[in-house]
This record gives sequence, structure tokens and C-alpha cells, in this order.
Amino acid sequence: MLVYFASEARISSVSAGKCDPRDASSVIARFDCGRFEWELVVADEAGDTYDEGAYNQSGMCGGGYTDCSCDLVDAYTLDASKDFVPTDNGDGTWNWYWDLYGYNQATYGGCTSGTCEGTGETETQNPTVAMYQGFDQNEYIGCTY
Amino acid sequence: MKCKVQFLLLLLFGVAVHSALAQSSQDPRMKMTTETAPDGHVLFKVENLSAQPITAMVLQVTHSYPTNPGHSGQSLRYFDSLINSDTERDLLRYQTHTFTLPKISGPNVAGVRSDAALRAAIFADGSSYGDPQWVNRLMLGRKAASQSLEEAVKILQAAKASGASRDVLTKQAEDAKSVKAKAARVPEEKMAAGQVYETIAWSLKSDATAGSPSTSLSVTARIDELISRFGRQQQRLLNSKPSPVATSPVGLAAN
Repeated sequence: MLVYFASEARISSVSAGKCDPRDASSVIARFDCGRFEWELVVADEAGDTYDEGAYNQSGMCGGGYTDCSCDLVDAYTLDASKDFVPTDNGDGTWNWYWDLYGYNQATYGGCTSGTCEGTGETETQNPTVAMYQGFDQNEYIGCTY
Repeated sequence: MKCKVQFLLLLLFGVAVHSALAQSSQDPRMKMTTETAPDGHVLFKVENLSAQPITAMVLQVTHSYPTNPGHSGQSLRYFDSLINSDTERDLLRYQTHTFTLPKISGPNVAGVRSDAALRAAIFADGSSYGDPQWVNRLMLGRKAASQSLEEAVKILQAAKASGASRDVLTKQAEDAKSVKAKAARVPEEKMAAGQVYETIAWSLKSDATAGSPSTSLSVTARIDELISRFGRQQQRLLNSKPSPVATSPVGLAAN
């Protein structure tokens, strides 16, 4: 299946050096337990934008349990986050992608030692990265080199 | 359907739009449709009509710029339930996966023409859809993931044996990611391998900076957790069809 579409034409010039792409993403929504939904957008200072659409990543809620030393671990939240990773091809084009950092649900287990060996719990955070989702290659953003 | 797509895209862009649905080689195992979301993004939807789950797909959106004739960029969008096993599941019969196409605008990219096509898909039984070169690229991504998981486990085991610090192990992971990126012949290899090593670096960083100190793992405990996690992911890859181990880099597309 092939779909073709085009946008309105409007051409102007831009000075060199003002077109380095930057992360112009916005937060669409922040959910419970650190889950974020972003509108991932690449922009340059000349006003060009590549809006990649909405992507989300899970954070985690942890704590709220008694550990092996009988201490109550306070409840806490870890937020998802992201990094924009651009690469200059040196010919006026760029490659880029995003790393989306987050967490799978924490895993819990019993204690093998400690004063609360029989009743305490251990918690393991499970960080995760979503990188193999999209890759933009040789994208032109109008710089004059 | 063709008329509907054209109408929606005409509404969106206000210029002549040509849908190539009629030219596409429709596969009875999949139903592909497009629609325009309220925010203006064009959504490319793939419904699995086969009893065999879809385990991987790649969508290519080629961008041609009137402001830079002869040049084209591309947005690649991936779905892979083996490489992205944390976030994606096999696409079962009658389930739909939606790819969001980029919206490009601005003075220097005005008039951009975009051509979107599902280049390849892989089913759980090892059969595939699409251009063999693109199927091969998906498989090269899986092979890169498998190799990186194997190499990462060796790095983790060595770090545990030597008592390497968090910083040292983080740098080893970042270096390995960089080496893989430089050696990659196609983006699929770079991204799949990079995800493995980035997971190590992110896990170590998260342990050092986030959450309750009592729940952050020691370096040794994190190494054990990653070895276990990577082992499970590797096993799923090795059990998948076609086998990523048997993939040979033939007929690679240039981009």
C-alpha cells in the first residue's frame, strides 16, 4: 500500500547555522505513575517543524511496603523521560531519533535475611528503553552550508 | 475507500493528492487503511487478517523537498514484538497497529511530498510480506539485537567478575553502542543494537539517581537482573521464525 500526500508550498531562504534541529516536543498528558505522552516534534529556528506524532512511555509507582529491615518504604513515583538524538550528516541533512526512557512494573519478592525476613518484601525497579520505534534519515531542514 | 482517502487528504492539505491504493499489492493477510486524525496527522493502519500473528513491520515515509530538488529524506517506523518486547506484543488476528505519519511544515520544507508504504512485515510462522530487501533489513535488526544481547551479557559477566564500578560499566555500554552504530549498514542494525546497550546505561543511571535508595539495586544486583532479562529476550529471538541467526546480509538497500 502506498499513500502519497503533500503540503502547501511556501519557500523562503534562511541563513546558515540557524537550522540545527532541536527537540520542540510538548507534553500531551501526564498520567498516574509517571506515564507521559509527548507530541514529538523536531524544529529549527527558521520555523520548520517535523511533528512525528504522539508517543508515550510508562513510569512507575513504587514503595509503600515494608522492607526486610522492617522499615516502611515510602511510596514514590519515577517519571518517564526522553532524549532527542540528532546527527549532522554535513550536507544540510540530519538523522534523528528519540530514546524514550521508562519503567516496566516493579517486581516484588520475599526477604532472605533481615529482622522482617518472614514478612518484609524486596522491590526491583525495571528500567526500560524504547529506541527501535522510529528513525528519520537524511531529513532536509533548509540550511545553506 | 480510495475516494475516501483522497477526500480526507484533500481536506488536510488543500492540494492535489494521489492515493496509490489501487497500485498496491494487497495481501489478503493484511488490511491497510489510512485516515486523518483530529490533530491532522495521517494514520496508517494495518489490521492482521491472518491466523498467524504479525511480529514485525516497517513503514517507510519518503519525503521529497521542492526546496531541495533531487534530495529525499525518510521517516522509518518500526513495530517488532521481539525487539520491543517490553512495549509491543504480537499483532494477533483482527488486531490493528497504527503508524502515525509525520507532519512537516515551515518555510524551508514547504511543499514536501510524502510517500508512505508498508515495506515489509514478518509473521510468526516465518512467512513475510513485502520487498525481500526490506524483510532482510528487519531480520538484520533482529540479528543485531541477538548479537548485542549475547555480547552485552559477556560485558556484564566480565564487569561482575572484575567488580567494575557503575561508571565503568556505563562507559563500556556506551562505547559498545557507539561501535555498533558506526558498524551498522542499515538503521535497523543501529537502532536494535543501540537499544540493548542503552538499556544497560539507563538502568545503571536510574539506580544511581532515582527512587528510594533502599529500592535501588547495587551494581552487582543490576547486572544479575540484566543478564536474566537479556537471556529471556535472547531466547525469544532464537525461538522466532525466521531464525535471526541464519540471516545473511544480501541485497541490502542503500537507504
